[in-house]
Amino acid sequence: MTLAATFTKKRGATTVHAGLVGHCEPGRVLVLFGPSGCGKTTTLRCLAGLEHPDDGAIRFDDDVWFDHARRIARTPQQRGIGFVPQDYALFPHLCVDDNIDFGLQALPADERRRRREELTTLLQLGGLSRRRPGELSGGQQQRVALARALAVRPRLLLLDEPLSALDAGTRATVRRELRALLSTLRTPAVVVTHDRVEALALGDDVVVMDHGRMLQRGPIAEVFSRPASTDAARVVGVETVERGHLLDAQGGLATVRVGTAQVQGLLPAGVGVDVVVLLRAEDVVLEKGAGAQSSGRNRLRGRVVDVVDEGALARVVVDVGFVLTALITRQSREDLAIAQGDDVVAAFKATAVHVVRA
Amino acid sequence: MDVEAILVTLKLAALTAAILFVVGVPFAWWLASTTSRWRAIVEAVVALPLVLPPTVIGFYVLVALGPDGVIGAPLQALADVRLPFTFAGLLVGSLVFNLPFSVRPFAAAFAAVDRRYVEAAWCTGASRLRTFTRIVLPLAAPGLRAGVVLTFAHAVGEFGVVMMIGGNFPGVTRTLSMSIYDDVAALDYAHAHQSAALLLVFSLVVLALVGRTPARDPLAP
Repeated sequence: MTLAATFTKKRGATTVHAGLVGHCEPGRVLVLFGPSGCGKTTTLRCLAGLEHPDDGAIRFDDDVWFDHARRIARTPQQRGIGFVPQDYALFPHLCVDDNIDFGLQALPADERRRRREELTTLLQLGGLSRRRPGELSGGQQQRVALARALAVRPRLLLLDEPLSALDAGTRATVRRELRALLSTLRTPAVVVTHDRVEALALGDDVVVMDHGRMLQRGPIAEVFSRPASTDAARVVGVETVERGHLLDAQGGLATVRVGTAQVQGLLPAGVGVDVVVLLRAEDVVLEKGAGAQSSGRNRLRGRVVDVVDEGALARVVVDVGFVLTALITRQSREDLAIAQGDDVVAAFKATAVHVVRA
Repeated sequence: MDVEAILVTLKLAALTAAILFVVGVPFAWWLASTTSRWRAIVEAVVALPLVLPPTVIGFYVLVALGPDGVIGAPLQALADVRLPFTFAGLLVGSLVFNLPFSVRPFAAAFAAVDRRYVEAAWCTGASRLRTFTRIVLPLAAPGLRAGVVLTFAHAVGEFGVVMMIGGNFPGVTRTLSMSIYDDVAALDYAHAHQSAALLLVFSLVVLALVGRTPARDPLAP
């Protein structure tokens, strides 16, 4: 299956420039990832047919869903999609069964019942059939919304922030269940989220968006660990993004001057002299004194500028000639007795340093 | 007690509320969902009876329905129907005058229906009509009910329009409020009292009923 959506859509101050062209494999999940206001929900609504782009075209397989030039704009009803809105929007006056059934009115009664029973089993909704949405837990509501969307056997499933309506306690469980469900379906899915953990847990591929632009697309683990640009790095949450100057390039390794320090990282193809160095906080190890050994090729002396406690983890900002961030466990923070003003060594592998074009 | 006048009043109010429900629901749905630039003007026209004296509305309806009026002349020429000082004419006046008491609550009720439910219904493939009848109407029901009750109650108490268009024919166009007017003019205060007290109690009961209608569907999450 192929989804080809190339369009622009002005929404408030942001203009979305969508350039989504690619295969949608059954059971594969494409995540639209970016901060709120980046245009990912607008993109999803344009795919659903709830909004129409100002220009461009949307095609799914051989069907034209939207074509500005040819004045084609299919309604949501004509697209054969399944849509799970944010907060689910279950019909509050209808019971679970009637919610699931809603799109099936064209089927004969016995087929409708059979389909409903399939979904009740698939989504573990047994015993809830007469309940109203207001009497369900957040996780149950989400499963009913999925059942309602899947009942009509959609060709493409669209989910808008599927976990944001849940409290933190149930989120992890529901996330696992949702991932398991999506990978067993024969329907490709597009999921919108601003949450890194959610994106990584649910997605196979990701499109990184910011200010209406699609910055990068690729397999999610790859994009999140190796963003291709400074902007993409910022959106996926790489903590240290610093400009640098390429000094040497040998044997696949780049030596870059950043601030007053020198770091070594993987040399990508086609960079000039001006580069940007990307480093994830979790890839940095902190040491105290000279005795400690680590496999890190980069060992930079510096001074602790700031320490921020984040529960089990602590975020340590170190000035090593440029400012970098390290994420360490509370245990190692206590072992090392790290405080503001301390001298430390920041160590990280060359493979953790991503050098991109400035 | 003027039973004849009570019956005329109830008939007029019930017909007014029923017709305005049938006409007003689609009209209000259009008002609540349109982005047309005519909307502001249409809304203003609908709201006119709220600010104009009933006699002004009654006067223009009377002129329009009259033998030389824009509606009255063709009606008389084509169908030999005369509306002024008949029950049908009275009903037309009542419909015009009560329009805002139906359409405005209806439109407010529709506007309060969360659009996400409508969109979710469309995305299951449900038609616009099915979405309207199965989702929008039930969710707007409390507001629609309030509009019907208000219209009925308001039509029961209407006086100025009735006087201008209906005249005062017992059993045909003489409503309870006209009957009170006549009683007072004849200095029959005891009789006027009975009818007036009846209207007063009725209005109180209606307002209490409307007040009890929840603004939101209690089943909503």
